[in-house]
Amino acid sequence: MSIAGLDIGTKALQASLVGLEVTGQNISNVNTENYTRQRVRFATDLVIQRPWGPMGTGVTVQGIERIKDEFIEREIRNQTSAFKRSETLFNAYEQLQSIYNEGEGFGLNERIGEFFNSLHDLASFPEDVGMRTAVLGEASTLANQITFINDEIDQMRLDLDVELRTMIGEVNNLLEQIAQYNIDIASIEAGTNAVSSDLRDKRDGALKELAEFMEITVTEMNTGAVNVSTNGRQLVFAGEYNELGTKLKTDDELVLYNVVIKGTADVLNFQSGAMGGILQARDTDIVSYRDNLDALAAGLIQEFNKIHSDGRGLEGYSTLTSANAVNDNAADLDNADLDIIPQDGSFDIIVIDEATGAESTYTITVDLDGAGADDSLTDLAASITAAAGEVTATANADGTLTITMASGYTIQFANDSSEVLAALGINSFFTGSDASDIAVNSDIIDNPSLVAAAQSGNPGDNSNALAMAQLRYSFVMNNGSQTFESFYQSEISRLGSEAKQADIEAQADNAFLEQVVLRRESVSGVNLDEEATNMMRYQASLQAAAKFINVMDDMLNVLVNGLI
Amino acid sequence: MTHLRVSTNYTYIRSLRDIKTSQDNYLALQEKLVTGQEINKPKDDPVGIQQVLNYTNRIGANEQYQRNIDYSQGLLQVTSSTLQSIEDLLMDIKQIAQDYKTSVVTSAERASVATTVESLLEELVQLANTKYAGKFIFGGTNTLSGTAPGSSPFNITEDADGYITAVTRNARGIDDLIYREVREGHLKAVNLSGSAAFMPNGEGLSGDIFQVVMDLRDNLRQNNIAALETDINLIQDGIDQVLQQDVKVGVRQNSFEIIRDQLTNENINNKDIRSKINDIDYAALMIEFNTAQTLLQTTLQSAAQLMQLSLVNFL
Repeated sequence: MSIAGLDIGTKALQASLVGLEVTGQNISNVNTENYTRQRVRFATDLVIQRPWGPMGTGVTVQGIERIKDEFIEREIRNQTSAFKRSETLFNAYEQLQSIYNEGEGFGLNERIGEFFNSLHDLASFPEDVGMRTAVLGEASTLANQITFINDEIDQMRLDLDVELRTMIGEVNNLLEQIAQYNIDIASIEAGTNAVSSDLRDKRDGALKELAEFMEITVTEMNTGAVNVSTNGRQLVFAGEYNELGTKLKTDDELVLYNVVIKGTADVLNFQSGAMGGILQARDTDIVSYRDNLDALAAGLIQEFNKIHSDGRGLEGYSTLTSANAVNDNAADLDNADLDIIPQDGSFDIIVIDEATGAESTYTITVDLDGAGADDSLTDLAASITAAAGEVTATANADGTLTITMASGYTIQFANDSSEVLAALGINSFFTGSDASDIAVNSDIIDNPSLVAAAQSGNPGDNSNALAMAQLRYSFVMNNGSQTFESFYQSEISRLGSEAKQADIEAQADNAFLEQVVLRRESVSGVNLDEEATNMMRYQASLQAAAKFINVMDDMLNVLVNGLI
Repeated sequence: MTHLRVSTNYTYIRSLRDIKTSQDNYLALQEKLVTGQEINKPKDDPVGIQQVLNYTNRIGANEQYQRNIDYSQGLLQVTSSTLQSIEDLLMDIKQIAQDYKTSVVTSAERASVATTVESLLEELVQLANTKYAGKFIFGGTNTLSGTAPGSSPFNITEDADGYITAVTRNARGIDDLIYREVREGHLKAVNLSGSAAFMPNGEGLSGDIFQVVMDLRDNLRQNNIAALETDINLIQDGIDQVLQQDVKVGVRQNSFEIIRDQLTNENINNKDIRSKINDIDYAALMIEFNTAQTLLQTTLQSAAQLMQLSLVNFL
């Protein structure tokens, strides 16, 4: 019998108490985010050699473990990045679908259809000014809806840009925090085998938050500090970190920013995380829809103008100025930066004497055959002026062409084989060049009689209105493979399948993430039933240890007091 | 078999996810029930939405073609009835010529009936200048009269006694046909050329009908009996030609009627197809909806019960 018995009891008592305390810590943090459950590691204490053999000296607490799987932690970060990216894209596609607003019947599709239908009503009543007003109304609604969608898409890109720049602030905070945790963890753990459980949980949380914004690679060093990099660039190195900043994107018509390592020109092209999602949506996905909307608008403008510009309305113009400008009045017209490129050919001008209704037709040749000197805007103005005494054409300094008629005379146009009228925007139906500026020519809105339903000067001639109505079935889009309507409809179908794809991806990524989170919970999460069991276990061992000490005490009492 | 360790939060996360899935499903079905549409956004059915948009505009275009036909039918109707009036009028003139070519009629009586023919000629010119909804039906594309003299399709010149000496056509646009689209890609003329009924067209008249009537009138006035027989034959040619034109108009009216019926049927079909793609099947959806509701209830109930269970309760 020795005093060592009491010592064993004391150690057992202590061990059980540590066990109970750790159980208490686990139970208290059952709802704490990023908390990793802890477990006490017990071991037998020193073994002493006795005459009858080796003998134990009780229990010792070796340490408190974090039950953690670093592989799962990395998976959580990767899946978080992936999910945040697909979630951002999902939201972008939901918004795009609301902007186009098809499916509820208020979209562009019906506007295109109604515009064509209104041209038929004009073809039925070509003498009417009222029908012209109806056509102009449908055309304006169509043009307005296109510019509305265009503006909404631009706004969406600008909003994403603001979101991106707000994120940079949050990211910089996180980088600073992670670097600070690195310093603290390294200093606490230096030279011991202790683990700074609490700080590590917090740093894991910060890393997970960082992964929401971008894809990151985390490497732990011997000191316990971690290095963080993204896109092949170091963000955190031990206690140091590189802040992110912005740099103006120079290749976009909107004012948008790239993300860079602050103070450098190193552009970070995130592939994942919310920032990766924003870059994908802002610079690629959304842009493709805007580009196709531009193509639709440009198609409408050019094809309708080609027909309208050499058609004849109920009245002629007493003066007009071309809607489109050349870049150089002296340049050949087929090399003057016009959307429609004029060709060698001719057109007629019809000079109408308002008093008598008498018409005189003059043919204007447009020389663009590439042989000898071709016509420039200045040449064209001179040809028109020379054709008839009542007409004066001027090439303006801004590259537009103004035609002015002598008092009592008006002018109309016909038979343009050169397409120079449509190219310059003379007697045009639509003005503008793409989705951002498509509009109905304000001249014809101000005077609907100018809407050219005829090709002759006869009031019952509906041939030009009919020709415009027939554009409905012309394969003028997508390199001559689609009509306006089928082009737009397949665009909506594309939007649908990409939105569906984004939805499925977001759901799948969310499910993956949940799976990993559950795996983390499975390993590191607190189970209250388990802790309750542990509590009973440590309670029992504590009671037993106490009883053991009690018994030891009694026996020592007998030995010490009873023998004297 | 190894068992997966389940943490307390694991149970919560799982239950929450199950509830959310059930709720999403329930709400998606509810949206369909409320709108009555399978496709509420392009992503609901990317192929289907293209069809729906396509059929929507096809239906609209079809209705427009029907309107184009309706607008044309009025003009054709008036053209046909005008041609019949012209035919009646020419028959009257022919009858007069026949009645007055016999020797029992005196030259004074012939001269007197010539004024009747003159007034019938005036009526004929008026019919040739018939307007429908304010527009000349035989004016080609020149449907409106200007203020200038001679701007009607057919214009008269009178001598000092008030007799018509010439009927001249306003040549501008008078023979232009006016087309309307009556179905996709089908352009159909809806008017007769201004010359068709009154000018030689190779099938009937050899000279213009007004000249024939004027010659008849003059022959009556000048008591030129020998020429009357020729005039009667020429007027019969005119009647034949007008009849031919009327038959043409009738054929066109019928063909428009047929096309219109086809368009109506096609649109019933179009709407049916669109509805099959886009309209919900209420019966099937209600069953699905009820199932989803039951599932949601069960999920909520089992989650509530599961979360109450804890060893702590029994300590």
